[in-house]
Amino acid sequence: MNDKDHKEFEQKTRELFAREVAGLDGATRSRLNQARQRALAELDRPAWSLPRLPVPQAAVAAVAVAVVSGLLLMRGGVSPVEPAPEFATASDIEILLAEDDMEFLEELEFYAWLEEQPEFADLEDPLEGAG
Amino acid sequence: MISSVLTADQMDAPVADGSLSVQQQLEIFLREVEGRAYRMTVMRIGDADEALDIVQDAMIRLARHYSNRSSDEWPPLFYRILQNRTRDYFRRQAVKRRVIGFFSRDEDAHEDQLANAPGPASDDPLNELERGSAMEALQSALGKLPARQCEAFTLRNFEGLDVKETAAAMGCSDGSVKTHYSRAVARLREILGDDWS
Repeated sequence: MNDKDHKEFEQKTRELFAREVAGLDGATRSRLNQARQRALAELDRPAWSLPRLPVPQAAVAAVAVAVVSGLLLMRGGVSPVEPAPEFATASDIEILLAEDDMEFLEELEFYAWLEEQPEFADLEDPLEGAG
Repeated sequence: MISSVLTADQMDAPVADGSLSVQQQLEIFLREVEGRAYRMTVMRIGDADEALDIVQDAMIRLARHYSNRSSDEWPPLFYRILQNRTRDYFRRQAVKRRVIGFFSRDEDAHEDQLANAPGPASDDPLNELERGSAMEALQSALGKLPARQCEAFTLRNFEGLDVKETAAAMGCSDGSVKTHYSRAVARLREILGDDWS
């Protein structure tokens, strides 16, 4: 593969990408415009103002910590021979706390309950593959 | 308050003449990059709504923390923030999969997705080529690259950042950018084949 072939390839990909960008629909452009205006509004905020946090941030944090802690305790008591859960690291909890998707965190409580039901012990996760 | 809506003359005025406010300069910059940033992010993660959120987040963070920097620094700063937000997205997805996999006891769900940086759902690139969609084939091929190679390629080739700016955006050395980029080009050409058009 020589440099000339590489340059032709690069040029072609640039042209394709430029066409994609030029072809963005009106709805997308409108949402991008709204995003831009929200960003520009940041310039009008006083420097001393507190960072804006989602209203339920404390609730999200409490739910995340409670559920993850509960999972650790439950997991340890149900099956001592199984390997310790891999996900409950400090960084994982930070990531979960940064997650403002309350619906996802509420689902954790459901799956914690599901785990306790013996009749569901062998069923596959209903959300498998939905991600 | 300075209006954020620019007149046509103001939009056409060169930034370098110093006649525009920071807000006006920032609006020009964001208006210029938003479409490309959005499209690049969609190509990385395959989710249009999430991509919009990521781009908005990057815009807000740039405005909040770096609007006082020289406008020459905005491109690498903006794309550095965008790359970080994109990686955060992949990390959240990986954590979600691990948590869900915890309940299903599926060992495959514990696989670390971040290292593989899952791209958009893709068919076999050759099938997409047969459908005559060169862009879809390219997007599929980009999704198969390691994250750093994909970043280097999209920043250099689509956004037009030079090596130094790309290095600043990626948080690596100039040499690493060149390596990632050359490997990305070679791999993409290998995946897409000589008949890609």
